[in-house]
Amino acid sequence: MSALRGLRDLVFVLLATMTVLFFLLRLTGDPAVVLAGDGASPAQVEAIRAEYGFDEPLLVQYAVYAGKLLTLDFGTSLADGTPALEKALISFPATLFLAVMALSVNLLISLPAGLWLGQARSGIARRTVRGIITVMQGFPGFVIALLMINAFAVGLEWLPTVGFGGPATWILPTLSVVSFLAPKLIRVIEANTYAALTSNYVRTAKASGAPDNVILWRHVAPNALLGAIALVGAEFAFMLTGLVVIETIFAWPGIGWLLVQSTLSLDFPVVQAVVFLMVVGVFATNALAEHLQAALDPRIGNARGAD
Amino acid sequence: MRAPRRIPVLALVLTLVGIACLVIMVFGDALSGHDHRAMNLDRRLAPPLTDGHLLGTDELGRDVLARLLTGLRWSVATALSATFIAFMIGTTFGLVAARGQSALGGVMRLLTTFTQAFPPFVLAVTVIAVMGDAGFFSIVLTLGLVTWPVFSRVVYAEARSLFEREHVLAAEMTGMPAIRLFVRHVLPGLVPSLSVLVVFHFADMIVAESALSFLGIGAPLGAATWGAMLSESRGYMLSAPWLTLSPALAMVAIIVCAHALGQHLRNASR
Repeated sequence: MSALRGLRDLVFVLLATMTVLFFLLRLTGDPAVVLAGDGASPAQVEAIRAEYGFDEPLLVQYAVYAGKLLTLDFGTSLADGTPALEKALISFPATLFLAVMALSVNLLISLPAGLWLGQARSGIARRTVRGIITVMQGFPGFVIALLMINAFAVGLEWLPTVGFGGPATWILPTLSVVSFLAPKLIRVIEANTYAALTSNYVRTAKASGAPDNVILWRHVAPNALLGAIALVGAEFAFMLTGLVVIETIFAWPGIGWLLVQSTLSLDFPVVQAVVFLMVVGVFATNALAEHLQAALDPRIGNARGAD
Repeated sequence: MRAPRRIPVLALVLTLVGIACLVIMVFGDALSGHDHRAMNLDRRLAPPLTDGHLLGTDELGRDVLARLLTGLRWSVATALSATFIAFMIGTTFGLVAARGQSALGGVMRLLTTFTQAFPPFVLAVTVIAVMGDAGFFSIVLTLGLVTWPVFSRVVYAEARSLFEREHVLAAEMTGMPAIRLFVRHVLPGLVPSLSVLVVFHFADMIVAESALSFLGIGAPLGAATWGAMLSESRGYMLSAPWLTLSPALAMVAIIVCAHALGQHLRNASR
């Protein structure tokens, strides 16, 4: 049932998004003028308008657009004539790659940090780490990106400033993304760890003489991570749509970057294809996180079965 | 057991920062002794502490401190207004959905998903294009329209349980009109979580506005905003690092303070 409902929601949101997008984009400017270029005569603009069907009433244009959408036909890019969906799909792997890298590094940092904070007694070390996290939360991702470029690329010349090449170009973008995702995840894992440590199963494990280390990694860690799956999913979904500024700063050829380029140049078909892809990506990620949680957590599976 | 005597350092610092912000909002760049628009091509990229320029000058010889203070005015004003719009839309929607039938809750869930899936960047560009000009109202409207689900979700969840409470049910049974019921009995119950949310949202809006004006779509061209200053500083990172550091650290300072206030409110409400 849940899968069906998810699919229904996806269809509704796609329909709403693509409709709103269509009319909003038509309000922003006249693509025919952009296509014709500077210094085109009114007659030339008129000809282009007729060629692309921009002279039809808006509702007729919308009907044509909606009809083509059903067959995933987004038309061709106004900039270079390549199919819009293809253009969006080509940029998608770069964004996905950055998101997967950021997710991995984020987990590698947040899990140990959250576990440690959750079980540590209050003291100077714990207060210091929490203070650092609080300050880190105040750094917007793109500010971190600029400061790191400033320090490591321009100042020390250890790493390339921008671009998408070898592993050296992956470090700064990944760290910039992780820097604003990690504090949240650490906080959640810390709270989950604290809750798990006071639970019955940990008390039982302690009573049966399990060493602290085993308790922490075998009993507490899986539960702490399980409770964070929703957040990890939300962070991943956010990365599929929200890396516009980071990708622009690093000239990372992902869909965020493509979105900026195509929106600013009024390349409507590409904008529509990118947004379509983003919505599908967000939905797929949310569905995956939900199913993963249900599959890994028997309590949720049972609750749903009894529903 | 003796009660620990603690000086409320946090409250003191936050009050001082609040007062400082207020003073800057009123006086703006006058506090720096320079006009934020005044160019001086003979004194380009002067490092901090030269010739009365506390934070140096930028690539056009404009005083960085003057621009920073003008930027704070802009950032705080846009963030406050955007938070207000998101708060009004989100709270109204959340309350109506919590009060109504379950179908309304479903509609709200879909609308929330829709708003979250719609890329804010595209909305920003289109709203600004439709309004005809980049400026205060288009940026505030955009940020408010994109971020209201943050409020509606919390209000929806909390108001639903509030509507089940005895004092609300009792008030309802006396035939109190819906509006009065909201204002007198439901809203007060929402105040603790909403006040925390407002403070955190304010910080998020500071970041969002700066990100937009960094991309060159928020503020009017040439305006002294922190995002624009960061964007302009990118060409001078090696020769004039203070151009990046000043707006970056100012932004971080105000966000950390807002977070500290939010954290404090959250702890106090528990």
